[in-house]
Amino acid sequence: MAPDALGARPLMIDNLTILLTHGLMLIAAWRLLKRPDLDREGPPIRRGIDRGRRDA
Amino acid sequence: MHDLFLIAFLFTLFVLGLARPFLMVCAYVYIDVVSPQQLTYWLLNSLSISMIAGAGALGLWLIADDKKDARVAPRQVLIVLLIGICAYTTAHADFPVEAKETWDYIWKALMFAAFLPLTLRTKLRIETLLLFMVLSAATIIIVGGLKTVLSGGGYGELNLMVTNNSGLYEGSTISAVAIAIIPVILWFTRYGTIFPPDWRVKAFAYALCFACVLIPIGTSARTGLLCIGLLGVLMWIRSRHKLLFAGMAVALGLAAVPFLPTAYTERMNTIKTYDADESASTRLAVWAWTLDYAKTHPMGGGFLAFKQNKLRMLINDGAGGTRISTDEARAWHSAYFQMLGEQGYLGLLVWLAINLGGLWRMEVLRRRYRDPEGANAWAGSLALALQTAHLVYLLGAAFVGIALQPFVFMLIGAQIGLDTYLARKAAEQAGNLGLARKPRPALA
Repeated sequence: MAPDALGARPLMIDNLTILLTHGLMLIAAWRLLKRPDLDREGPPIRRGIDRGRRDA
Repeated sequence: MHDLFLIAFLFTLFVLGLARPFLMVCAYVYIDVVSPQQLTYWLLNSLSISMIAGAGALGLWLIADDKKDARVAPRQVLIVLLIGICAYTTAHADFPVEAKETWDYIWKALMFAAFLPLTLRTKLRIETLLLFMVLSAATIIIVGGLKTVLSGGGYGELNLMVTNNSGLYEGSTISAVAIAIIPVILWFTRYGTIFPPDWRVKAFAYALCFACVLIPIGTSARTGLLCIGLLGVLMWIRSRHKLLFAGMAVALGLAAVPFLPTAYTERMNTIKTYDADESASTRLAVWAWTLDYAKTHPMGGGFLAFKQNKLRMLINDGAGGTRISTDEARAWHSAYFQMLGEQGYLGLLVWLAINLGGLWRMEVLRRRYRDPEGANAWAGSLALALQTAHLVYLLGAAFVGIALQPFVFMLIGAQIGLDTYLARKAAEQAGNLGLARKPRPALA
């Protein structure tokens, strides 16, 4: 299929893609509002840190 | 409608950024990658939205963010040093007007990369940054992938919404970047928390990876093919089932060949016959010219110094003879030669230190947190993903002038952020346990 055979579809592809990715970014931003760990975390989990240090 | 949607999206992101300042950083990332001002005909194209988001991100960080125990890694200092070198070469540029235009956006991109790690104080912020980077790039990649499937694309023919070859909208650049971010996309299928990895997330991620692979086909960028090859090798080395992985890769490759557009296979075949291919011969001539130029201009000629080159090349005519071809003002076609020609030996050295330092630090973190059962397995896996992405970029950069590509410097910022975050957590843990041992600092 030649590139110009897309007809009016390029605009539709552009718009659908923008809707999809921007929608996902909005959902992500909305979910982040309910996540206190975005700005502040609790104390680190000992097991992983200890293991990490042993591996170092 | 299209314009209204983009305006509403950006406005919402700005408003949410007031509640969660880090979202303003994400807004800047989005604007820098997608350039919504180039997609609209109303309002956004007349406002300096990039400046608004950048100033907002910096202002909110200064006013509202926690800066306790903020760490500056040596690579951030190197980025600032690189800005200084670019400022010097711009002031002494061979083409002052053109160099100033490039400088006007490059210094902001580099400054943002140096600033970014200071904001990455939590694991969730690192994830959020990468999610916004991936989804922003996906806006271009999905468009390119779908159009490739429907039309086949072609060199310089694939319409990626914006046709001025700026930023990630340039074919060779998006080809290298699309392949480079595949490991980061796959990381989300295991460790994402904003979108927990259920079947929908995995389906989207795999489909996006497929679109990424289609980009070098759609743009017919030969660099992309090399990047796919390197990514395949790197993933094969790390895979647990090497034989199965190799078998699937070969089967997938063979199955894909009949579906490749003729224009693509013809262009890829020219990789083997570089001496008969004017584009490849021009690259070699530009690189030889740059080496000569650097001998007389060791401090570099500033941005776009390539505009003064005049080239003579011997081209194989395919019938056993040769012909002479001339050209001038040809672009660098390589990030390494770009740095040498524009920023001199010192600039190249600093740029290499930033990039190689990133590879090394990710290797250190990958090894330190390699236990898949450990609580910080996500960090080891992310370090590996960022390292693989960086290696793919460095290969693509050998053939494309993307030395100071803002998206790549954001990836470097994410690397530094991961490094300083883990160093901070280790220090906190040591403090909690009352250990006298000094925490291991982030080194690069």
